[in-house]
Amino acid sequence: MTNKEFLERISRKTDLEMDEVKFMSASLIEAVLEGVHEGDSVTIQGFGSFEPRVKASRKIYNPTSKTYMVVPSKTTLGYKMSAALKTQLNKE
Amino acid sequence: MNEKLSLQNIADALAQKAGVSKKAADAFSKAFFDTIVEVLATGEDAVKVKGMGTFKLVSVGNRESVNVTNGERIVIPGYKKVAFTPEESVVEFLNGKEEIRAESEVHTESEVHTESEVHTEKEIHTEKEIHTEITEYTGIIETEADNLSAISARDKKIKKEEKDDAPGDEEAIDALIQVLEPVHVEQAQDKFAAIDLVISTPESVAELRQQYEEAKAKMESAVEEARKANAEKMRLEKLLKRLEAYEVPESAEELPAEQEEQPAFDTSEEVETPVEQPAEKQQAVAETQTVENVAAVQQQPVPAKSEEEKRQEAFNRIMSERPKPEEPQEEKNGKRWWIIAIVALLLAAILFFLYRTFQNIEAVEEVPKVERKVKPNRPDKPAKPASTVVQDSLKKAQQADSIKKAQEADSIRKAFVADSLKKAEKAEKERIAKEEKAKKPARPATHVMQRGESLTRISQKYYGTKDSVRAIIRANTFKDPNNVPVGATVKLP
Repeated sequence: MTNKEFLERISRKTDLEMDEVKFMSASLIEAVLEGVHEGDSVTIQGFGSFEPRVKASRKIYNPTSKTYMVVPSKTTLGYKMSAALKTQLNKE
Repeated sequence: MNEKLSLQNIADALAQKAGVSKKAADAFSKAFFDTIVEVLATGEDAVKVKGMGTFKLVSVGNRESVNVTNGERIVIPGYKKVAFTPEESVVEFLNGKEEIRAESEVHTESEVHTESEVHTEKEIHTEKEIHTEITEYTGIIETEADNLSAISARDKKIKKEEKDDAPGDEEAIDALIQVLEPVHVEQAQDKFAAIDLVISTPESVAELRQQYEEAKAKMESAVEEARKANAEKMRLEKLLKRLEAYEVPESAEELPAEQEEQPAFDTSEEVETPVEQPAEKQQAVAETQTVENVAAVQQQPVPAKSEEEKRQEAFNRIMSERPKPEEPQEEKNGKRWWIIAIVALLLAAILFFLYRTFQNIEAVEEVPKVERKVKPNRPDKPAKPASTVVQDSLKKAQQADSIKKAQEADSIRKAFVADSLKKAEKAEKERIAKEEKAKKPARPATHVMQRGESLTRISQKYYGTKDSVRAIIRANTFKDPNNVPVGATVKLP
């Protein structure tokens, strides 16, 4: 499902205009990301939790130039689904 | 820092950011995440959320494990889980947008060994990483597109505002619209009328029908031609039979048997639609001729023994065979000669059959039929001009038929050969699979680690499944199961 379809669905559900939904969802995501950026984990009940995940730096070998490169560590957005969501998805 | 934020905190932040009430913000954020869950629960395999990433439904397969208390093997059932891939922009944001991509470093040779090992361990993940990269890029493209649309929307808004500022312009535009409108409306109406015309006029319908009828007629004429050709053949055969019936009434017993053969020779459609009128005319002509010939036949009785031999030779080259002048027989001798003729024909047919089997199966089946049809004409041989014409055309028809059948037979044979080849391949594969199966039980008790091997790979190799990794780990005492040194001996449980 694309972003557009997803937003349309929210729009139907909340009786908001598409423009409003776009704006609100962008703000919501921003709020979550800001929380994560500060090192907090954001838990949404019935959905899951977002947390910063640190990927360690690693060295890679480039076979053509025969050099080793260091890929620095970086932080990504980690997500773990909640137990409630798991049971809901595996009902059958 | 390291706090646990809940939906409530997020909703509050949202209310602040968007300038809406806390209640509305709370409702919206609930709706937002509920929608994702709903969509995934309906079986959609992925939800892309711009500015965040992709939530993807992934199914985890069954895996084997060992009960720690009693050592029994158990199967942990598979389940569905939601995997999340963040967008590139999210990662950039979380890393403070300062991306120091990679530093090049040249390492000494002693380091090379360890590095390559690290590399092989990471290899397993590369496929996944490529996938995530792809999704990230698609996410970026989407965000760009959305940004563009947002910009255009903003432009529109600005224009609106400008309009409000300049009422004079608006008036001008209104006037313009008023001027333009009637013309456009008229044009549009005209177009609609034209479309209506096209749809409703009986002429256009009639035209279409005519085209349809023409096409149909063409098809039918083609079918009719084919039918005529077949009907012609049928008619000629009937004619021949009529001739026999006239002249050799004793052979009436044998005729039904021959008639039974014919349906097999013709396709069902041909039998249904013989062209009757011309056939009857010709039959009438042939009948008058045969009546005359019967009279002539009875006047001059001649021995037919040599004729029988000639016939037999002639059967061996049926395609080029021509009817020879033959003397009729007396009615009493007729029956005996008939039997001899049939025996001779059968012999010839068998010879032909054996000869043709090497070339073509279908053609062989065709030959004996040809002979039988020609045969009954012989002993009486009265209507020479009529029968030659009849036989010639019959032969032509049969030749064309046999060629067709030969082609069919050829294609059938090819298909058969291809089929048997496939079967052979299948059998070969099965045999190999069996051999492999037979090999598996005979696995060694230990395995020496080679470079580039992992326990997962060993499990796959000896047990045919990755699920046995845990069993292997339990059977050994590794310092680090994820990094077993090269040359280490692994016990295989």
